[in-house]
Amino acid sequence: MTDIAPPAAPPVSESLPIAEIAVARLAAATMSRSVSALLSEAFAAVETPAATAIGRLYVESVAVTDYRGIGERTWFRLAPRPGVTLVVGRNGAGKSSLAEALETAFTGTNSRWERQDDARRGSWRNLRAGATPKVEVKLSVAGDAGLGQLTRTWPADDFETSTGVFKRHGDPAVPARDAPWVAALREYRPFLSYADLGNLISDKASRQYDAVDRILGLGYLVEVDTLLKAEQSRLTAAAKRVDEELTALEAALEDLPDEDRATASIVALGSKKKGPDFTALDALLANLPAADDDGLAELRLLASMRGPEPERVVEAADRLRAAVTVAASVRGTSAEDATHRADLLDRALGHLARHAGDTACPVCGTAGALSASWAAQATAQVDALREEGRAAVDASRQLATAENALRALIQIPEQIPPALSAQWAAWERGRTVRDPALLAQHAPGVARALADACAVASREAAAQLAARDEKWRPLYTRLATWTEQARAAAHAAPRRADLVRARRWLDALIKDLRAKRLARFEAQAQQIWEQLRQESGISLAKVRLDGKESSNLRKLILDVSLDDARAPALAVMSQGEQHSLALALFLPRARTADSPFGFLLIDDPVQSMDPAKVHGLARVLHELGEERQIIVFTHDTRLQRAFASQELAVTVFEVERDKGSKVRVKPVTNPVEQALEDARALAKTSNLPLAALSHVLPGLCRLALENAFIEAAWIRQYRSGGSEQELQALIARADRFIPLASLALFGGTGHTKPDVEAELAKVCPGGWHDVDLVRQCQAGSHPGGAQIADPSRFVYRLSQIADAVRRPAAVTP
Amino acid sequence: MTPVPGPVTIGELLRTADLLLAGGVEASAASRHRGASLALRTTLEIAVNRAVEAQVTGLAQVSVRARMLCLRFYTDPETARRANAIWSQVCLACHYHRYEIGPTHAQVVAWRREVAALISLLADS
Repeated sequence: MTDIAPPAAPPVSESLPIAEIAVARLAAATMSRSVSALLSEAFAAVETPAATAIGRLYVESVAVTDYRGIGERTWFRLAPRPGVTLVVGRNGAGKSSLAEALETAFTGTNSRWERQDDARRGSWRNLRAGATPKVEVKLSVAGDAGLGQLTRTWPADDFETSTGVFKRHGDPAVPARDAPWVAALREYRPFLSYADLGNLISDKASRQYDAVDRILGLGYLVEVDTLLKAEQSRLTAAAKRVDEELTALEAALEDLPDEDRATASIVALGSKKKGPDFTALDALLANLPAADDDGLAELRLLASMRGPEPERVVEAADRLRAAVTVAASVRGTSAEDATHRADLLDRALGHLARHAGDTACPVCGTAGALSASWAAQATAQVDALREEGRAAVDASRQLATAENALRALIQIPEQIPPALSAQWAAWERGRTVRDPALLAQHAPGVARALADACAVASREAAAQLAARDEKWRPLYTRLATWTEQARAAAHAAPRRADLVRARRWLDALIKDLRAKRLARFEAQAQQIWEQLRQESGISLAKVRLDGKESSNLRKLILDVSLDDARAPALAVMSQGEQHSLALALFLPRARTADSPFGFLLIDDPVQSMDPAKVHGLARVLHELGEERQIIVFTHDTRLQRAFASQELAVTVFEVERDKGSKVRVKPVTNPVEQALEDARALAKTSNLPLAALSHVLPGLCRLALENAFIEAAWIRQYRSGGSEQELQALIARADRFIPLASLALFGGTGHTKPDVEAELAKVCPGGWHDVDLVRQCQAGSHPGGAQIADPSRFVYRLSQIADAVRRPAAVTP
Repeated sequence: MTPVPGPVTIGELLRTADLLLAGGVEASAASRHRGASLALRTTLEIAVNRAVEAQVTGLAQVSVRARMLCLRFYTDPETARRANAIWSQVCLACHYHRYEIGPTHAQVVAWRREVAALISLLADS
């Protein structure tokens, strides 16, 4: 065959969850139907990763009560969609308590608690009198019409004994440990603390390997393979048992050379190469002797051999002997002569009757001899003579009867075993003995001899048969068991072959995806590192996984070199650089399609980074924020500045501590507010040229509106289970204003400008007047520009419109 | 008293930055790096002013923030974003912010490179 082309890889987006990729690849693969059915079955049998089992999760709000530094209930609401949110606050304001509470809500514990020993853990419960700790997280689940809620409470003082409950919209509440994302928490833990970053770089090489290996998300396929492998081993072991037993069984059968069934069995078992003859085996097992089973047939025949019954033969012979005697006594007597004379007279009377009137004797010719008187006399004489002759007739008849009776006892069976053929032949010769007296004389002796011989032979044959069965019976059982197993193995042979093919295909798929995903992971890590390293001379040349997953020597290879010299640079990296590298390795995890978590919580990533790296980090987070909800807790204001100065959209909250342990989370800014803030600054600028007012200000306001539409569009898209990629593609478009507005207002992009404007007039506080303002914003990008009399008022009105459209009314569940 | 300086050119400012970066001035490294950052900031502002003034007369006279906001509508948005980002970085480097140590040599060299690239991008727009 020249057909060695690799399996066609269809244009499946590798950003799909692994289970969906597997199904799509399978559908496109060329393989026999049985193999593909086998694989489909196995795919269905393994629990699909959470990304497929549940829509992606985004955090909508967090409420924390009586947890660590937080006393009274502290609540804040996030935009449940991709984007970056910074939660900033001084040390001790309660940021870390919030971050930890969110992590604990999901996992029941948190990495700080896990790391520290009892003495340093401190009180996890707020010190307020009567504190009842509680964390409530509202989650937006892609495709669900309403929010889900995750709640964690503590029945007693033990931190590690808590009660988590997850209630998905429209579903009954389940314990958090049974929530569909639980397995994914291990692989794609969406919580990242400063300490985690430090750990990754200083961790054991095998743990680093596992951390990266998990990100590749091939666990599902490996599990499918494990399932197939288990079945394959089972079938292979069964086939091996059949082979081994075949050898043993053959040896045992050969030990019974006299047993024809054993010989027949050996033939039926066939060779390992040719396989057994199941039909022959079935026949043997049904106890039917095969055609060539001579010895056994003879034994059976002998065993069934019954000779004549000597008593009956003696009786018949006696009777015959008596009849012979009677017959002999009447032979040559007047009785016989009388019969002859009666016959003669009968014939003469007959002659007279045929020749009426002719009275001459036909014998002597004497005329008138046959007179009427003679006829009458003769007739009377015939009757007398006949009476006289009956005795002779009777004797002769009885002789015939007795002879027949004896001969009737000479029964010859159809098959005669050679061992008895002489005796039977002697008996059979009785049929040809003409002389009844001779027959009567010899028959009893021959019959007795035959009967005795038969009885002896039958007894002996029966004993032999029994002896043979003694040895045969256990072999029969073994043969029956083996036949059943061999039949199962023969039946499973095509499945075994399919399993080999299926696993070969799966192995190739895993290798292919692994290589692709590792390459993509490496590229992402390098890209992130490039942003973060800024002017550091250290480059990340390679990220490799060395060794198999099961190897103890497996390790993550980070090829980092200083100033492009091939020198191991890990040792000379500053702590800030090490953290940046850890981020470069960690952040791709948040982006993988297999994670059900749409959010990533990062606690204080900025520590020990120099200003240039903070700028790079803002870029990295922003890029990640285009696909995921990134929530960053930080005490460092530089990160917020880095977002602002690079014109990157960001939502900012500030955590403040009031008196005691009352913590407040105050919204500071968000992408809509950022654009409005810029617009306000421009509106207030003195001596601004008219052209900037007519063209730039509307543009900034339009940006604020678009950001408000994007917010609403995400909410709509999520409620309807629409595709993220589609929305992202729409957001990236230049002419996005009307489609975005349509999506934000109606939940679909198909509505025209007049529809959009009519709906805007409905939802905006200023009605059609507000629609005019929206038109002005759009006019800014045209040569004529917008005519804005009062810039500050214009921006104010626009902020009202943005507020009205950014959160679509809740749908009734 | 030093004489009142005349209008300074972009070329002069870049050369000053280079001189400071090359260590040709008797001063601490931190001071030289801050001095170079200052020169770069001014260079960038001149380039931005020229670009916006070429589009709308009078725009060079408004506040720096307003100018920067307008820039994205008068030049390629990516160029505007880069200008804004580098401007905010060199501004930070110019100040003795209480949390931050001065910029490193490598950083200022990179900024010098980015500013030079932006000057030509802004001149083309």
